[in-house]
Amino acid sequence: MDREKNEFPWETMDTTVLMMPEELLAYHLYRLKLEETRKREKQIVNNRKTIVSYLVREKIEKEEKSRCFQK
Amino acid sequence: MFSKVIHDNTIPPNFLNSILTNAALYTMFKDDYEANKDYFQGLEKEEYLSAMLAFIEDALFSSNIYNIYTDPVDLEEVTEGKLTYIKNFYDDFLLDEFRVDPDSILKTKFFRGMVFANTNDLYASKTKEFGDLFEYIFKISLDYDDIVSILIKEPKRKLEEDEALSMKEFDVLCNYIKNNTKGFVSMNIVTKMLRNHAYKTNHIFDAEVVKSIVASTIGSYLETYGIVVQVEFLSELDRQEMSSYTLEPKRIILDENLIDKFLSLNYTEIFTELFFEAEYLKTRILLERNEVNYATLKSLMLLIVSKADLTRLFIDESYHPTDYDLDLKVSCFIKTLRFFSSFGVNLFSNFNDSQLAKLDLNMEEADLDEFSTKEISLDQRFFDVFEKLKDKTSLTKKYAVLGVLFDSSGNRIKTVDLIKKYMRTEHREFIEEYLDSRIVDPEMMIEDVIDLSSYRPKEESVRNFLERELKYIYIDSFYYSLESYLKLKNGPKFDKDEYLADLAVKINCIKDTPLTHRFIDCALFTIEETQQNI
Repeated sequence: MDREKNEFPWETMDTTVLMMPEELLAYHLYRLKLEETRKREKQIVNNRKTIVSYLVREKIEKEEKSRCFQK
Repeated sequence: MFSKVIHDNTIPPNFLNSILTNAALYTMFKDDYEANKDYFQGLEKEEYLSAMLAFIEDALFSSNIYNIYTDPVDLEEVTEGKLTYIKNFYDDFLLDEFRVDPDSILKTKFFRGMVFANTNDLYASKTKEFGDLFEYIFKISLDYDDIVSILIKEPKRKLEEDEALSMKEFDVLCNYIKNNTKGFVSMNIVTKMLRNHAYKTNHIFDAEVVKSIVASTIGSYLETYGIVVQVEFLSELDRQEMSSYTLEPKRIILDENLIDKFLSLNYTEIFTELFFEAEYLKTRILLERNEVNYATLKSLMLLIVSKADLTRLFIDESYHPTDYDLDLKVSCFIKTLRFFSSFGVNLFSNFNDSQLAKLDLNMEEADLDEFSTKEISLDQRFFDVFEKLKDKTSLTKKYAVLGVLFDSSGNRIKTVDLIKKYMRTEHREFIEEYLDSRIVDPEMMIEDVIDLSSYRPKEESVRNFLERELKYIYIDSFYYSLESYLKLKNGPKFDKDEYLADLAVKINCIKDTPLTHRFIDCALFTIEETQQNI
């Protein structure tokens, strides 16, 4: 098959690297969804904790940033 | 292309075969149909033409158009004249149709079938008769490549330039996607079609277009690893039957229900499953090949951090280690969303909002020091797990890429020694890619900067590489390295203040030279900032 090399930037799709904020949240939420299907209670609890921790951290960071714009 | 009427009785294949291969019957069919319509069960001629075309297409895709079941003593003798029926049908019926309506060239699988037979049939490409027929169809009777490029030129241009397509133009594109002889389309066409489908800019896909788009996507992805794959869609029942056979290693089989879901606007499930199967296939093949490259290293790192049994993965195709499986599934979901984002379809916000709306979260539970593994660099997690492994020596011996990065006792080889040992070998490309991309511990980075700044290689290209690493790579990575490491080690036993103070001392031991100055500055600044935020 003669496909053009590097026709599509697949290397940018590699999710082993650190992800952008909305990706990180999506990752946690989808993971929780899968754990709920598998009914792994301990992992469900941990995932929920990770999500809330992440959301609170994001909220704090956002507030800190917006304070920089207030006189 | 020939109109089909759907009714209870299909024309028996034996009868079709007779019409095609019996000279008298064929002549009667061709020249005297109306007068003998009763003989042909009162059906319209077009219905026969449609059935005959399907019959020929099936024969071409059967990988055995000559119906040869044992090795023939004389191949030419056994095959001579056997394909005349195809040429006759093509000359007498298809060519006229193509002349009158050139678009119909893309509506049939006939040409794709010829290419398929040429590649997959045991005997076709070895016989003169098939070779002559192939040449006749693709070059002499018409110039296939030329006419196809003319047919798709305007629809393709409009698609690529985001102009609205007419129904006819969209049909031409869809037919091209389904029936082109290469078996795949470019990712440019794939992404534009997907984007249009998501934004409903154009018209409706059918299942076959979805299959082709999916196959083209995964074909393109796996080709970056030198893997050629076939994608098949089977019903749940057929898939269950398949599982009792040993599957060929380079096939991906998906549930055909996923196509219906895609057409009902659930875009992510089919691609998540697709990438998931592709990752497993890719991982198995990379481990089998056991080459020294970054892709193999990453696959190994992921397996090792999730504590999967590598030996079992290698020999048992049904082995799906739970944590690895789960992480891979989620990663493939993110990959899917990233894939769609790359051509302007952002599915992240909708997904996040809809999922959050369903959850009843207690914000009091938040622990600001709680981090997920995805926020920690894979390299750091890997080193953390690997150095404690009991069988690290055997892993280093078994996997070539680990044998490059670790010594025979399973201890990490220092960066400066990696460069000294491998930069003038066939592993140079791997070493460069690895050193440019990894995020290791801050202490490792400091050690590297000290070692590398005093290393004076004779070769200019190695000197240039070193300079680039010291001037840019280590500086750019330090922040991520520190952030990630603090998350990895986070816990009651880890004293962040003490660690950061210690790190600052180590940095001050680096000799301040033009090459190291920026790193020292940047690293100290990063540490100070982090100390203030604790």
